[in-house]
Amino acid sequence: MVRRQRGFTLVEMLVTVAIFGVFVVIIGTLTYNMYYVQQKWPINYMSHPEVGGVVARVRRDVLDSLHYPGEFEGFLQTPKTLIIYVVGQDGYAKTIIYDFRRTGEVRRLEYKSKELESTWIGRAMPTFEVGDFELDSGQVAVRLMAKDTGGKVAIDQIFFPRSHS
Amino acid sequence: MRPQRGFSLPEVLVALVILAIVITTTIAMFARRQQYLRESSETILVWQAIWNEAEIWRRISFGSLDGQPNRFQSDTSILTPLNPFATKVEVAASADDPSVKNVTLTVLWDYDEQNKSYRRNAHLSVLRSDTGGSNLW
Repeated sequence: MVRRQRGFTLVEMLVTVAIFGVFVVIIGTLTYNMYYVQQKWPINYMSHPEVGGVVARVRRDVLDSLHYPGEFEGFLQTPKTLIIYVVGQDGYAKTIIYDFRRTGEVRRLEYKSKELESTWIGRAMPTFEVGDFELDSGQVAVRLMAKDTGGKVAIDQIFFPRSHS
Repeated sequence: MRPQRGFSLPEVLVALVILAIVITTTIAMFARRQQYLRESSETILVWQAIWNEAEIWRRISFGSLDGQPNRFQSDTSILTPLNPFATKVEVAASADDPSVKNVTLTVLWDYDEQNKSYRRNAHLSVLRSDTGGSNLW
C-alpha cells in the first residue's frame, strides 16, 4: 500500500510563521531594552561591598583630617594618590595614603610618624580618581570619583573634614 | 494494524493555554526585573548627588541660607544619564522655632512630555539650627 504523503497547508505555515514572528519581536524588544540600559547607565559599583568599603574609609579619614600634605614617604599628592593627615580616635596623629595607581586595586597605608602601621588592600575595584571641591567659605572637600569601563561616572562623592576648632 | 490517533482539540487547547501562561509570566517577570534594575541605578545616582549637596548645605552659615540659589551647587554630572532632570532647594523657617530652618533638597527626573511633569523624585531634608555663629564641634 502506498501511503499518501502531504505537506503543511499554506494556512498552517502562515499561522506558524506569525507565532514565531511574535516571539522574535518580543525577544528583540527585550534584548534592545537590555542593551539600552547597559549603554545608558553606569555600572552599579555601590552594590559591591569592597567598593563601598573604600568609599566609607575615605569618608571617615577625610572627616578626621587636619590637612592634606603634598608628599609623604615618596608618595605625592596626585589624582591617583590621596595623602591625608588625620587625628585618630586614640588622639594620635597619623598619615593615611590611598594609592589608586594600580588597576583594579586600592591600597590604604596608615603611618604613625614614619612607621607603617597597617596596610589594607581592596581588589576588583573600579578606576578611582581624587579631586577637590572648594566652598565659598574656603573649606576644601575631597572629591572621590570612579568611572566604569564605558567612561560613565559611577561614583562621585565629596567629603568634608570635620571642623576642629 | 494499531490504530493511530493524535491529540484531541481540547487537549491541544489546554496545553497551549498553559504554555501561554508560562511564557507570558516569564516575559512579564523579565520586564519587571529590568524596570527594577533601572530604578535602582537611578536611585543610587540621585542619592549620591543629594548626599554631596547635603554636605554643602550643612556648611553654609545659618544667616546666609535664605540668600542661596534654589538649585544644587555641587557638580551634578553624575546625573547625566537621567537627562532631563531638575534640582530644587527649598529653605523654610520652622513654624515653632525661628532659629531652626528646614532645607529640602530635591531631584526630579523621568520627564513626562504629555503632562509636562516629572514622574520620579527624591528628596532629603536637613534641619539647620542657629548656633550663634560658633560651630558645635
